[in-house]
Formats: sequence, C-alpha cells, structure tokens
Amino acid sequence: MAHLPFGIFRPMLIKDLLKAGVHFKLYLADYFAWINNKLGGDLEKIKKCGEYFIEVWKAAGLDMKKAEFVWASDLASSREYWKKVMLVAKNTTVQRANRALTIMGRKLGEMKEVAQYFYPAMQVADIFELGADICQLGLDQRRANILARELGPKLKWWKPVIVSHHMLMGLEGLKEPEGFETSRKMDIAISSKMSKSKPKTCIFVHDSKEEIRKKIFAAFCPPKEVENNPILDYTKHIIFRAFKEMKIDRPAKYGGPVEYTSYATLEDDFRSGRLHPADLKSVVVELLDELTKPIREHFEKNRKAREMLEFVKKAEITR
Amino acid sequence: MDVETRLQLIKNIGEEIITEDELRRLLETKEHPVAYDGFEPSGN
Repeated sequence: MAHLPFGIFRPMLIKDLLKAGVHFKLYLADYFAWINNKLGGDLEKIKKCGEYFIEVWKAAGLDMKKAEFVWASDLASSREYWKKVMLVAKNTTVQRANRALTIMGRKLGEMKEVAQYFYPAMQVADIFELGADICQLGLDQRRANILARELGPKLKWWKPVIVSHHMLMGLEGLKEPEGFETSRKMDIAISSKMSKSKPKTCIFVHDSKEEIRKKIFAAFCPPKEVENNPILDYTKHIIFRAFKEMKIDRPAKYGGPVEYTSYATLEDDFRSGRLHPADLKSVVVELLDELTKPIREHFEKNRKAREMLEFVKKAEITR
Repeated sequence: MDVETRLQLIKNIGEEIITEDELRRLLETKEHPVAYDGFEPSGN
C-alpha cells in the first residue's frame, strides 16, 4: 500500500519539477520488482500493483497529461536496451555491483540469485535508454546514479546530473544502521526511512484520520529535540511544502493560539520548549488527514480503484 | 521562467545535488530536460 513518501511527498516534488519545465518520467520498474522477488516474484501481480501505483498518483492530483509513465518491461523489449545493459555490465566489476546493492534495499548476504546482478546494470542502462538528463530518485539510490555518471562519458553517452530527494523518516525515529552503506550517516538514514516493508514505520495514504492520529501520537517526538525527530521531519518536508502556514490552536494556559509561516520559526519554538510535541502533533494529524483525504476517498468511492486496492492488500507479503 | 527560478525550484527538492554547476548548465541549454524516478511495484 502507498505510504506518505510515495503518495504525498513524491507527487508534491514532481509538481515543482514540472513547474521548472522538467519533463518527468515515472518509471514503473516491474522487471526490477520481479528480480527483487517482490509480491512473491509474480510478474502479473507486480504489473497489477503498478496499475495501482498510477491510480494513487492520479488521485494525488499529479498532472497525468504532463507526467509520462514508462514500464520497465516495455523498455526491455528493445534490442538497444539490452546492448546498453551489456555495455554497463562489461564495465562494472563484481565488487562494484556488490556495493550497489543498497539500491535494491538488500545487503550482500542476501544475494542468492544471479538475476540480482542484472539489477544495477539495468538501472544504469535505464537512465540512458530513458534519455534522462537528471536522476531524480531518493538518496538511497545514489550508488546507481554515481555509477551512471562514471560510465556515461566512458561509453560516450552523457553524464547525468543527480538530484536526490530527502528520505522521510519512519514513525519510530532513528534506527540502528543495518549495513546498507559504508557511510554510517547514510546507512542510518536508509535504515530509518519510512519503508513500506516495515509497516510500523508508516502512515499509509489509506489510513483513516483515527489511524493517523494514533500513529502520530505514538510516534517518536521528544520535547525540544529537533534532530532526527520524525514529526518535525514531516512538518518540514510535507506540511510546509503543501501549506503556507500552520496554525496551532491551543488553550490560553498552554500559550494560546500561534501561527507559523515558516518551518524555521516553528523549529526554534520547538527547540526552546515554547512548542510542545502534543500541540504540534494535533495539527500534524489534521493537516496530514487533509492531504491524504482525496486519495483515501478516491479509493473508497471509485469501484475500479477500490478493487485495485483490495488486490494489493491481498497480494502476498514477500520481501 | 528564468534559469535562476527553475534552479531554485529544483534545488529546493534536492537534498544532494551532483553537481549544482552541471545542473545550472543543463537548465541553460535545455528548456525541458528529462528527469526520472523509478518505482518497484510491491504491496507491503
């Protein structure tokens, strides 16, 4: 099921990119999910899930006329594509491929099938087959993009620019590094992200307001701590991107109502203790509910969309 | 929209940009550069 990073954050960023004149391609990596044994490695289920993804973005208000959708299985139907995969693979050492495994959300010990080694080579080839000037993925995908920057000029293609977006933190806050990256900081960031495969870290776009409230109130948010605080993370990266201001309505005995027009001033107040986690959380619940409501309702009201969601819910949980 | 405004919009979503100079040059030479993101369809 779609979570906040996918259903809310990703479309918001695309809107800004479209404004900047960028032609954005949303690449439905069905073959990659297949290699990565998602949904039991059942390609038909994976494709159906991809259709659900498109439905989520549509409900999220993504401009469907401007955004382009490309399926990996379609890209892979061309001979030129596989030539690119071969060229990338021939110019990548096994050691380097091993280091790129983070892009699959896997660690070295989890490598079992040769197909998994296709993954990084295909991901790099995708960039050039899609004609991408900009790799605009999450920070956890930087390894493949950096490899593409090295190989592009060497293979007489081009050197793509990398614009990596923030990874939203999971509800439980900072996690122990799981060994995705050699850089400890990056390892912690990847291990702590809101991840569909770890439902406890997630708010889903289909969660009811009550569920959102329960999750937000149970979330890690110590008073006065602004570093690695997931509630502040959502406030900064989602709420202040979607809304110009944030009104906190609290009783006079707790300081009375207050209005923030920038994240920086809200953070200052939180750090000094003038803004209490409970007051912040109450508003975060309201605004996240406001943002997810159109998607939630679309999947409740539209029969076809509802069936897609039911299918995804039932699909086997495999990772 | 001028290059500077477009650059600001993109910088505002990039937690890491490699490299900013190259991004600026790209925006100067292409009005509609292609960007992509990939998604593995999975349930949970």
